[in-house]
Amino acid sequence: MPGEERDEDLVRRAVNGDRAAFGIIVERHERRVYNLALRMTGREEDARDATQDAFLVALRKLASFRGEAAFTTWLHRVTVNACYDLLRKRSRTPLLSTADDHEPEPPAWPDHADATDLSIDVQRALLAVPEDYRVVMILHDVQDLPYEEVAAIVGIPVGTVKSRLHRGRVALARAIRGGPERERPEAAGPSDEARSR
Amino acid sequence: MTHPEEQLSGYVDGTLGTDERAEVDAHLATCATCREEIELSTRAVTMLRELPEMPVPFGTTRPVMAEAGKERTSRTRRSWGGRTQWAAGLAAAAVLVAVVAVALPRVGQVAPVESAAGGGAQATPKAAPGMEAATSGAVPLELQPNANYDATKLERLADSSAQRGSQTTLAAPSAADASAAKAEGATACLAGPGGLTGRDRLVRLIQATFQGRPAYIGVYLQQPGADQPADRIVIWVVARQDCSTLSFSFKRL
Repeated sequence: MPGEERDEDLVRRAVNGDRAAFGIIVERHERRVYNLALRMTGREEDARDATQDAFLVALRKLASFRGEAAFTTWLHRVTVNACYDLLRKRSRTPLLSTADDHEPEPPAWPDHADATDLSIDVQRALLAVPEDYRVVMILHDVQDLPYEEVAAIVGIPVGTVKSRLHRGRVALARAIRGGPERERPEAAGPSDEARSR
Repeated sequence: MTHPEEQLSGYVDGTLGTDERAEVDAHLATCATCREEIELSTRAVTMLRELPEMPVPFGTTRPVMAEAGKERTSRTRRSWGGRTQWAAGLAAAAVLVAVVAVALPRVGQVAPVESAAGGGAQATPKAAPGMEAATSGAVPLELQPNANYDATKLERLADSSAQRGSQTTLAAPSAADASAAKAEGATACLAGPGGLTGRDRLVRLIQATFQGRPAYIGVYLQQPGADQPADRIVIWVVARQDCSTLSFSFKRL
C-alpha cells in the first residue's frame, strides 16, 4: 500500500522499544497469522493460542530478525512452528470449534456464517491430511503464496513443496469424498525429501 | 511406473511451460491413477480457495501487547523523565482548557465529571485552538470503583465508545475541579513513551479494576492519518500502581 510504513522499518522501531510500532505489526499481520493457525489446528481456541504464541515468539526474537528473508516469510515461519508445537501438545483430535465445545463467537461478518458452515467439511478433511502436506496447501492454496515462498517458510526445496501439494490435495479430496485412503504406497507420509532433489 | 508428482500440482495450477505440460499430457494418456489424481486435486484446489478468511476474535493479541508493553517498560525506564516532561505539558494543556472553560462560564458549569455509573452525556465545548486532542488532559476521569473489567467488558466498552466516538467529546473540567489533576495523572500513566501517536485521540478515561487489579483504562480513537476520520478504537489498560501495561486491544470501527 503506498505510504504505508515498511514492515522492516516497523521492526526497527519496535526493537527500539516503540510499542506502537509493534502494535502496527500485529494489527497488519494478525489476520493472516490467525487464519493460518485456524486452518492448521482446526479449532478457534487453538488458533488463538497459536496466534499468541507466534507473536510472542516474534516479539522475543524480533531483535534477531536480520532481514535476510522478508518479514512476512519470517513471521509465517514462526507461526507454522507455533502451530506444530501446539498440535504436538494437543492429544485430542482437533476439530473446528462448534457451539457445544466453545462459547459461540458472534460472527463479525454475518455473511460468513453460512460460508463457515459450508467450509466445515473442508476444514475437517484438511485435518485428516498429514500436517506436512496440510501446511503447504494452506500456504499455497488458501493463502495464495507462491511455491518459492512456501518453500522458504517451511524450509524445504520447491520440488518438495510441489509434490506435497499434490499429495495433500489428493488426500483432501479423498477425505471429503469419504472414500478409503488410497494413497500411493510410497506416499503414506512426507518422506519425500530424499526423492525430491 | 513413476508418476510426475512435482509436475502434477503445476499442471493443476496452470504454471507448467508448454513442454512440461506436453510431457504430463503424454503421461496422463497412459496413467489412469494420475488422471484420477488430477481430477481430485482440481476439486481440492477449488474447495481450498473457497475457504473463507475468518475474522480474528477480539482480544486474541491482547496478551501479546501486554507483553510488548512490559518489555518496553523494563527496557526504557530511563525515558520516564521524558514522560514526566510530557505530563507537565499536559498540565499546561489542562490549564489552557480551564482558561477556555472560564471564558465560557456556562460550559464550565455544566461540564460534568462522569459518575461512577458512567455512560452519562458529556458536555462538549470546543477544544482550545491548536490543541492536540490526543495529548489533552481534558477528558474527565470516570470513577468506577465497583467495576471490574475483563476481555468481554472491554469489548463492550469499545462498542459503546465507538458509538459516541463520532462526536467530539472534549469535556472541560472546571478550574476548581481537583479531578483534573487525577485525570492528567491517569492520562500520563496510559501514555508510555512511543505508546501513543498524534493520531490517538483520548475519548474516555476510566478508573476501575481490570481482572481484580486497580487500573486506568484509556479509550482512544485512532486516525489512519492526519485529517482522516478515526478508523479504529484502541483500549489501553495500565496498572494504577506502576503504569505497567495490563492489556491492549483494538477494534476497527
